[in-house]
Amino acid sequence: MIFPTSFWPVDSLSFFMLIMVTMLFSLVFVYSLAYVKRNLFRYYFVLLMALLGILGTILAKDLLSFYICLELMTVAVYFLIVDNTKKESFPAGFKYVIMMFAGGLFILVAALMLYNLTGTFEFAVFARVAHTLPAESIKLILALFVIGCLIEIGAVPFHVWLPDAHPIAPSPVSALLSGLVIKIGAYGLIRMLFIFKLGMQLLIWVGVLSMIFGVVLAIRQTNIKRLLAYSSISQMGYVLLGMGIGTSLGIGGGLFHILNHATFKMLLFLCLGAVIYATRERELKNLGGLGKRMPITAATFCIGALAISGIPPFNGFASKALIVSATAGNLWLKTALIITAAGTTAVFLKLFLQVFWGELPAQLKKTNEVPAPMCFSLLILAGICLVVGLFPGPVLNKFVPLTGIALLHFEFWNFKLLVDTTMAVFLGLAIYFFGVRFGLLGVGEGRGKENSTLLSYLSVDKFYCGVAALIEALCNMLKKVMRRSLNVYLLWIFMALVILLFVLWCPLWKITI
Amino acid sequence: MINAPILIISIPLLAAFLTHLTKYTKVKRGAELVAIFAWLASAFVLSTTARSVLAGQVIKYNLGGWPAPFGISLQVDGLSFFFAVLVMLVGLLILIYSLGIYLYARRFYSLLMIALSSILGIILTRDIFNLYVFFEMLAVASYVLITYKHKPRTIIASFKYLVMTEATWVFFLLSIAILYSLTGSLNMDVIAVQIPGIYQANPQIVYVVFSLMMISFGIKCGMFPLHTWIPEAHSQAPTPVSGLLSGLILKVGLYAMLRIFYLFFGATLLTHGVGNVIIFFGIVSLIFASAMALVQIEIKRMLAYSSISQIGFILIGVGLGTQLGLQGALFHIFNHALIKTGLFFCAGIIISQTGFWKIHQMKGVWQQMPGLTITFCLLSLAAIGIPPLNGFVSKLFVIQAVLLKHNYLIIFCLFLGILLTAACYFRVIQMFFSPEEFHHKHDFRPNPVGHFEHLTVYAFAFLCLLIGIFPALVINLIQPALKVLLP
Repeated sequence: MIFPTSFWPVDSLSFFMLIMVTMLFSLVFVYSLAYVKRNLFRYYFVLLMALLGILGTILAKDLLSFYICLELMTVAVYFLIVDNTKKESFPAGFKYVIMMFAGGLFILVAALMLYNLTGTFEFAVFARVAHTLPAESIKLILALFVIGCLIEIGAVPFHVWLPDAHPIAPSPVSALLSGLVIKIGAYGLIRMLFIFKLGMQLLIWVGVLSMIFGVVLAIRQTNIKRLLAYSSISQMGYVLLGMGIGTSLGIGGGLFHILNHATFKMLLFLCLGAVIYATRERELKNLGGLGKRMPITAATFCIGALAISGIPPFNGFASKALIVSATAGNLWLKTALIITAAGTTAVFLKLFLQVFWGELPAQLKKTNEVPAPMCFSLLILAGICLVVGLFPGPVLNKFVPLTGIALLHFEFWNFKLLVDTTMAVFLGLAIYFFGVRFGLLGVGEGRGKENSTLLSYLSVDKFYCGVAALIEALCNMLKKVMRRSLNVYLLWIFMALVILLFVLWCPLWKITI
Repeated sequence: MINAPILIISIPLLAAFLTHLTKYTKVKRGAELVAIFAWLASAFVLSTTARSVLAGQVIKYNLGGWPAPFGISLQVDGLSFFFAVLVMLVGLLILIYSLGIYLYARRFYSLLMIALSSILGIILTRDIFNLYVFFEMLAVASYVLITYKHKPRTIIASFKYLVMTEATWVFFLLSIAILYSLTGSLNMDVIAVQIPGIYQANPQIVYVVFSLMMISFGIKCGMFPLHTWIPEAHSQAPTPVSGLLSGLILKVGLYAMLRIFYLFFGATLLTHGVGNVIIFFGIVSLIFASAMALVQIEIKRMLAYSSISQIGFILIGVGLGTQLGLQGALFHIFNHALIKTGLFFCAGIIISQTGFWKIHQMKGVWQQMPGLTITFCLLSLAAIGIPPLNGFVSKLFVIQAVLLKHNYLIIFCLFLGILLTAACYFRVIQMFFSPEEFHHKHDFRPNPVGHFEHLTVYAFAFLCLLIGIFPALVINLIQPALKVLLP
């Protein structure tokens, strides 16, 4: 077998992703011109490698090429995450790379199992023979593939790498991570689910869990980038929910939300990157009142915050409207959506007020607006948010593939959706004020310690760290047990011989392992 | 060329003695020149056989003109050719690496040539007792090579190596004696023909022979309970010798296992499920060694354990015994020889530059040696099996072969092994990129590291990338070998 790696813009889906990636990536490049000062050669080399990997996954005509480019992207992004080589960046990068390799292995095994069934890796052939394949094995393969993609996306409960990797990476890289890298898993998911036309109950559950967990964990964060990372988990929950519903409205909404989340989350990360660039502060308690000193950053951040909260006329509203409509009156799902939207509103209200409003701390008096390339990226992204929000229908029909009748004639500005939005906003305001009042938000008075311990149990990070520590302890134990003595070594040899003879003599070995 | 097999072995062997005679000439660095030229000549002779061997022919040579059942015969077929190419390539790079350092005298090159020519002998011989003799030659030469530096720790390590290998070679001798008494011949082809009959009459004796051979080849290739000499010897040997041990000597054990098991027991034991035993040993080696590699402190010891885990990977492919499994195993043998030798050389350069042996001391290597760090990263990514590097291709074949058996337990173990390997390599990589200022060991004078060392390391990384992008280069070599193993 020689590698049948092949690349081609297969269809409208990859075309859509391609436009998104190239547009947003060029903005990251422009932003990096001003932001990155050290190790330029290494930074741009791995950035271009990451671009290569991302474009490769999108243009892959077959599953193996998809996997190969995915791994390429993983390695490049690892070196981007650890780019500023601080002490804390290595554990985060380590977690990222190991989890990504695990996800990649799941995808690889699924790909090879499909190859063994069909004799090819090509998506087009899968689509043709999908109905002839045995249902049982398809289910297994899809389950493996979905787990792999969920790890890449960073959905709950595989999200632990995400809040560690984002804050530690340079800001353009965090924007890249949240904007594009986690979208690749979603792209693979859509591609495969579309081929096998299986709706997935599992994805709905994972989506809802991610939404709620993400926003609940985001509420208490005080590190600004960590907060955004948790909010990314929650927003990817929307995408997964849309895909899990599996109607044309749901998948269309999910895809649209991929685009919108990429733009506004990138905008938010780049804004906070500008704040970090100008002030060298990442903690909420040291920030405040920057609105006057950095007006462009503050204005664009405000647009991003409104968009992520799903407030019209910004793009977040449009895609959330599609997903809400896709739930088709399922009360539980709708409640979850409204709670998440309310929580998101509260989170970003807190973030905006704490960073750009209020009193300017003394040490930040000399802060200035960031250089022109950074402002340029911010303004362009804010413009996209506004334009897509004002004209969601044309954008949807032009760019988002897989449009069905329900999508073509979708009424964005209908009364029911606006009522839902208003409800969510007021709920969000209520959460914010109660939160501040009772010290639940991690800002203001230092109350709510017990809440934070509760939340640290809620995030499954402890579990993963525990597993890692357990493995290391076991390995150390193994190392201690193995004695370095010649007598022991010789004993091993004779024991091996005796065991081998015993195994062969007994008919035990005829049982297949 | 009918005389090729004997020339391939005897030219380096002759050179081993010629290196000592260079003492009486005025040529500067004569020993090195003799060694390199002999090696190139031997490679040239091998290349003359390429066309007919790749076409599926077999080149036979009877020593002293005695026909097969009586005399010793040497033979170049697809499998031997594949391994011989590997040995030529890695051997040449090892020689070039050791050129750069003025640490090594004539004695070193002489011993190295003896070791290399005995490896070629093992690969080409068709006589089972001759195989034993070459193995002993290799053991003695490598024993002296490991302890080349004459430090107490190296002497202890190589003494352990010697005792352990000799203990198991007694087993091999015993199995040869049993086979000789049963068949009356030492020629592999003659024995292979008679084994099915013996198995019919008395399966137990075949089991005994199999177990004895498994133990004796297992110790050469570093199977789990017999691996114990590897970390000791690898970490104490001089760097070119570590490369030789990991790159070639482990592979020779695998060669003997492949050759003899598939020739002797291919029709009897292996078709009756003994492959599962090999798979079992492979899995245990994989998991155990990658777990041990994760917690090692010294970098060379970590690389040695990682070698064992890769051998486990290969053994799984060997035990599967399918076309795809063997293809993956052979490919991984080739890849691992390149990757691990390259990694040992990288580690060797870093150690000789900094004076540090331990991983946690190697901070800030990136600032000091960026090229070397990138090479190390590339090679370790290849060892983990990340595309588009060569380790990925062989990993792919093995996983696919296991999946065809629908055995999900093995898949899980492979998963675990690969992730642990990734963890242990990234532990080193992140140390290299760590921010702390690079500093030498107290009152340590770095050894001069010349262009030859760097050239070799870059060559290894380049080969890994090349094979990863064009796997057909090696697959074309593997196809004739597969035809020999699975006729």
